[in-house]
Amino acid sequence: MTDKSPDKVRLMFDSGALLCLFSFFFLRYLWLAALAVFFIAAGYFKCGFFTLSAERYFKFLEYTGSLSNRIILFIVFYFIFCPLALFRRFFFCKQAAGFSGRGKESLFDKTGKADFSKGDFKKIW
Amino acid sequence: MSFKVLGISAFYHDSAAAVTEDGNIIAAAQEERFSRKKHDSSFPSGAVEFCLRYSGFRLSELDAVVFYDKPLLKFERLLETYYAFAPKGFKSFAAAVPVWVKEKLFIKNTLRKVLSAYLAPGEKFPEFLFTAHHLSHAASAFFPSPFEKAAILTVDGVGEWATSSISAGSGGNIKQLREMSFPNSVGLLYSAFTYYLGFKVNSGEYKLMGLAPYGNKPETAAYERLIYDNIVDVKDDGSVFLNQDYFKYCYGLRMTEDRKWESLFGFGPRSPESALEQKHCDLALAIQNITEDIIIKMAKETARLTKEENLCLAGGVALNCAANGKLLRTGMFKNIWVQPAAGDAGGALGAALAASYMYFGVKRPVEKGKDSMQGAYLGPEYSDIDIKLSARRNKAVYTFYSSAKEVCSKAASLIADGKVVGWFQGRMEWGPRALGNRSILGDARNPDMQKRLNLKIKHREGFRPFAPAVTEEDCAEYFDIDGPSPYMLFTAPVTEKRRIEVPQDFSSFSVKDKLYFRRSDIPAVTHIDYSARLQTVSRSSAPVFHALLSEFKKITGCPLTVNTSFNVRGEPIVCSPDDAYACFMRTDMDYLVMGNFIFDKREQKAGPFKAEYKGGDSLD
Repeated sequence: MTDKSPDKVRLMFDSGALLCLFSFFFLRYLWLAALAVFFIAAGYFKCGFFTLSAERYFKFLEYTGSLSNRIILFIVFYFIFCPLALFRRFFFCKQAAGFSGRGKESLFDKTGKADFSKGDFKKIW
Repeated sequence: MSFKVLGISAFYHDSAAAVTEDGNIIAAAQEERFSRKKHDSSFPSGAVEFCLRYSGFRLSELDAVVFYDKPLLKFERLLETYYAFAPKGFKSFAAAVPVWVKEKLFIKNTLRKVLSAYLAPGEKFPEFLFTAHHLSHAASAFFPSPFEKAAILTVDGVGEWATSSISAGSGGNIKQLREMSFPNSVGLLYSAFTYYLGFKVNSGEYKLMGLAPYGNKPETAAYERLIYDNIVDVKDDGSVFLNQDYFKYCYGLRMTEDRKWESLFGFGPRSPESALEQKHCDLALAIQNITEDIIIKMAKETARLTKEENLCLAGGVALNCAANGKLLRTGMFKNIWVQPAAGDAGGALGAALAASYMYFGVKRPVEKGKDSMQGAYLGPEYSDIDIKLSARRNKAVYTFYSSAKEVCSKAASLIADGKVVGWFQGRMEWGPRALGNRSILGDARNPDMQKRLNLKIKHREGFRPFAPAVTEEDCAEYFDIDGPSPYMLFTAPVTEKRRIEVPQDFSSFSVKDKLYFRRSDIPAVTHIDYSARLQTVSRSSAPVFHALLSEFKKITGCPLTVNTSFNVRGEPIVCSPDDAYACFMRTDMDYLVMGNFIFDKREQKAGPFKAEYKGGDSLD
């Protein structure tokens, strides 16, 4: 059976090489280009230290990934969603039926779906 | 021209697939049986593969693939809920939104991606269709029912917006008349109590139902008053308003606002697996009574709106067989039919049937008095050769019998001797109940059977009752019920003459003492309130199982056995001979009957099975 999992050591060094090349493009320090070549070459060597470093590197990336994901969601929720929600609630939009049903005689609504057309089946809404 | 349709339910809980041709159900199965993950919600690849293989249809030959709900409407509900509760709800938002953005919102793409595995190069996808969640439920209840016209009531946790609906079905059409919307939901109310009493939501509701009869009436009445006064406002038509101050499911990752519940009821949420006390039973009975009250009021409204004498039920709440039994006994409807897979899995079948009749316009034939579910035996079946190969793989020792009659006679004598028998025959059942094709059977007259099955074989809580399977013709001898109950979806009282009276101070007994008090001459299947969740077995729909019960009657004079699902706690019901043999070896079952093969536990080598058993570790 062939191992199809990505070579983490190479990926780690390749990402380092990319970073160096990117910096070289702007800063024009020759040693950055040399470092990039060194990283690409190092990616082909296998040793315990590199493997361990790659494992730690990927764990770190995973952590920062989930953190940034949460930060983005935090910004979306508290800086976009909440102001919109409060604005809607205080000014003009009435809430969906179920949220404001206290005191009603019935919570059953007459539906507008007495007849289902063929078009209804094609919509995902 | 015939219309071939594949229905799919997925991504929430209990994913499943079903395939129909011109409205005839060819095959249906839940994914959990193939993936061996209980309540598996992932895309039902195993179930789809089985449906296509069994029907012999290629994916490209199908006229449509139908998904059982409308994802965009569901997403709208999610956003509206966050709008209503913001700034509360970040935790729930952070958990839900990435999944929606990645998978659920682009459902067509997701379906294309996973279904492409079933297409050969150059073949085209069939048309993708979508039905509303409660239309899927309504279709799963009405179209396979034996009625030309009927009222339809669907009640569950939540679909897109709807949490309950009332419809009228006629021929091949369904008209939806009323709908109750989120967050007011009978299913979510029941689930909230399921959580508070220490059981798993979307899974442990039937445990709560089983616990309820241990409640004492006076204490229960006090809890009911508290619930009506503070938590739920039940209207005359059965619609409900849930006081959201007491719930967290709209914006949190838990069901209830625990501190408020604690101050209301005087005790906090029960931790899973902790000891059950009388107060837990009383609260369980209170919510069960309230649920029954709501269902009966809803049914009354359904009867008023539709003027029909037949009722079809579906949605997760329709699996509450105690409520169904009570509704049946009111006599409000002449006939009641419940979809055996009433929960979300049944949505796959409903979606396929809705598309067949309402989109493609197939004419719906109705055979009076007979539904089109084929006894709910719609899953895979295995031949003698498959069983033999499985036995060889497992190095199992067996005796082969040349006829089913011989097997039934031998199995019946084993059960009569007090043995516990794993019973594996024909096609696997559709829905959460084992109906005699993937069952564990025992002698219902044996007073120790309930304890033995619960603790030694199923590895589950001692309070949980077992169901009887009785021949249809002998049912009236044992149970007070009008009409058949082939899918174990109604409870019925054990007849008076079979009961043993409880002492006057019975309510002061501890839960354990109540549990082991003998209540009838069929104690293993008589619940504490003298009810039983029975299955009536007819010769026409389950000939082999019926033959077994008849043989048992010949030996003992009793035409019924305990019938519990062939699985252990935390695992789905077995599907294949390999699953059955592994389950047999991991438990204290005495014999396994698969097709015409009988396996005696004493003759088997333990092998790796004992060490592998993990079922008791997880809650189901």
